Amino acid sequence: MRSLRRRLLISLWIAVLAVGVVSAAVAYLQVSRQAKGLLDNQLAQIAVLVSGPSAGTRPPPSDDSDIEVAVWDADGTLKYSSSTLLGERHAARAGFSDIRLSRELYRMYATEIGGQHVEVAQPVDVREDQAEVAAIAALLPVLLLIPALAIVIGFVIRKLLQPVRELAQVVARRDDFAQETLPSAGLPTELKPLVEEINKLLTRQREAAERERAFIADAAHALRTPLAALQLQADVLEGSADAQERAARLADLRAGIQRAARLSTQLLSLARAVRCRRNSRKRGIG
Amino acid sequence: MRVLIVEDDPMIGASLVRGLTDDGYAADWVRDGAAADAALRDQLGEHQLVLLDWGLPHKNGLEVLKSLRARGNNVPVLILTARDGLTDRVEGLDQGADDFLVKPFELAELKARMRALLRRHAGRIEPQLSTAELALDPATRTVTRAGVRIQLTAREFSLLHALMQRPGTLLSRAQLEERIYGWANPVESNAVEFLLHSLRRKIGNEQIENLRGLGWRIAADK
Repeated sequence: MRSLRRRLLISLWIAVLAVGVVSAAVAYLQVSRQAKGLLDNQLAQIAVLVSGPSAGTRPPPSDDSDIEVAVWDADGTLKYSSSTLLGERHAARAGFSDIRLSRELYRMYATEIGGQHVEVAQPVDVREDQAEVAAIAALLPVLLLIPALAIVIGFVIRKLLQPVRELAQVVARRDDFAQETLPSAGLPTELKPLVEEINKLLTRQREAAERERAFIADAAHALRTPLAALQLQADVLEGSADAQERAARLADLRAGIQRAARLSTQLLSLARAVRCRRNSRKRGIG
Repeated sequence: MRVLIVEDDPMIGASLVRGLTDDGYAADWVRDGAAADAALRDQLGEHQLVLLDWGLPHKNGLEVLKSLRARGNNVPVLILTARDGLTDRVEGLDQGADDFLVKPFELAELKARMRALLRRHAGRIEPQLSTAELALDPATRTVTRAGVRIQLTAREFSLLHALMQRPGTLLSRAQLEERIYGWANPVESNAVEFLLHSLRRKIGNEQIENLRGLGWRIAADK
C-alpha cells in the first residue's frame, strides 16, 4: 500500500536533509575560510606589534597559537627571533606565503616596517585546527535543527492527514447495508469532492437496490395469483369424482401450469431487459 | 349456502366455483368491483358469505367492502389477496372484513375459514348443527340420524344445511332455491319439491314440516 503520509514524510525528510547537508557544508567552508582570513590578519597585526619601539624587549603575545616572530634591522642583522627556526630570512618579498620550516608547513607573513624586516610564522596545522573548531561551531546549530525540523514535519503531516484517518474510520465502521451517506461537513477542500462523489455513488446504488427490491416484490406478487390458481386447480382435481369432470379439471390444471410458466418466462425476459438497459447506460457513461 | 365470489382471475374464480359447488355451496362469481357492488346491492341478503379479492379492476376490494358496510350489510366477508403486508391486513380488517387469506392458499383452509365465519355469524359455538334426532357436520359433510350415518347428495345436503341453520325457522320455496342454486344453475320448477321429497325419504318424513303455502322447516324440538 502506498501511504501518502509515508511518501510525504520521506520526501520532505530527504529534502530537509539535503538542504541541511548543503547549508552545513557551505557554512563549514565559509567559516573556515573566514577563520583563515582572521588568522592572516592576526599575523599582520603581530608583525606591526613586534616592529614597534619596544620590539625585542618582550616576547610576542604568544599563546597556544605557536606563532614565531623574527625581526631584522635595515642592515640585515637579526634583531630578535622567537625561535631558531627563523634564524635566517626566508621571505624575499613582502606578503603571505606558505613555507616549510624544519619539515613543518608554516604560514608566513613578511613585511618591511620602519626599515626593519619582520617575519611572522604560524604552523599550518594549528591554523587548520583553529579554523576547524570555528567551522564546527558554526555547523552545530544546522545539525541540531535538521532532526528538529524532521520531527515538526512529521507532526504537521500527521495533524493534516487527521481528517483522512477519521474518514477511513467512519467508512470502516459502516456495515454492508448502511444507506446513509458519508459526512462531508468540515472536510478539507481536497477531500470534499471525493466524499461528495462517493456519496453520489452511494445514492445511485441505493436507488438501484430499491428498484431491484421493488421489482422482486412485484414479481413475487405477480407469481402469487398463478400459484393460487394452481393450488386451487389441484385441490378441485382431487375432489372430483367422475372421470369426465376429472379430465376437465386436469385440463384446467395444465392450462394453469402453462400460464405460470409463461409468466416466469416474462419475468425472466423483463429482468434481462433491465440488466441490458443498465449495461448500455454504463457503457454510455464510460 | 350461497356464496358470492369476487375474483378477477379466471382460473382462480373457476376453481373456487368448482371447489365450493363440490361441497354443495351455491357459488356466484363476479369478476370486478363494480359487478360485485351491483350484485351485493340488488340481492340484499341473498348471499350468506362473500369471498372478496383485494386487487380488482374498476373498484378495488377495499372500496367494495366499504360501500357494503356503509349500506349496513353485515354479510361475512373473507378477503383473498396476493398482498401480505401488515398494513393491508390491518386496513382490511378495520374496514369490516371478517377474515383474511393470503394467496396462494389451500381450498381446505378456505372452506374451514368459511365454515368458521358462518358459524360465528349465526352465533353458534359448536361446529355441528343438530336437532333432537339429526346432526349435520359441515366440515365432514356428514349427516346422522340417531347416530346412524345417512348418505346424501350434494344438493340434498345443501337443502338440509339451509333448513338446519336455524331449526324451527320457516323457509319459503324461493328462499330455499336461492340458497341452493347459484346464477349459473337455472332452477327448474318443482326442483326444490323434488329434492325435499328425496331428502324426506332418507332422513324421515316427520323431520321436515311443511306449512302449506308458507314453506318448510326442520323440527326444532330437542
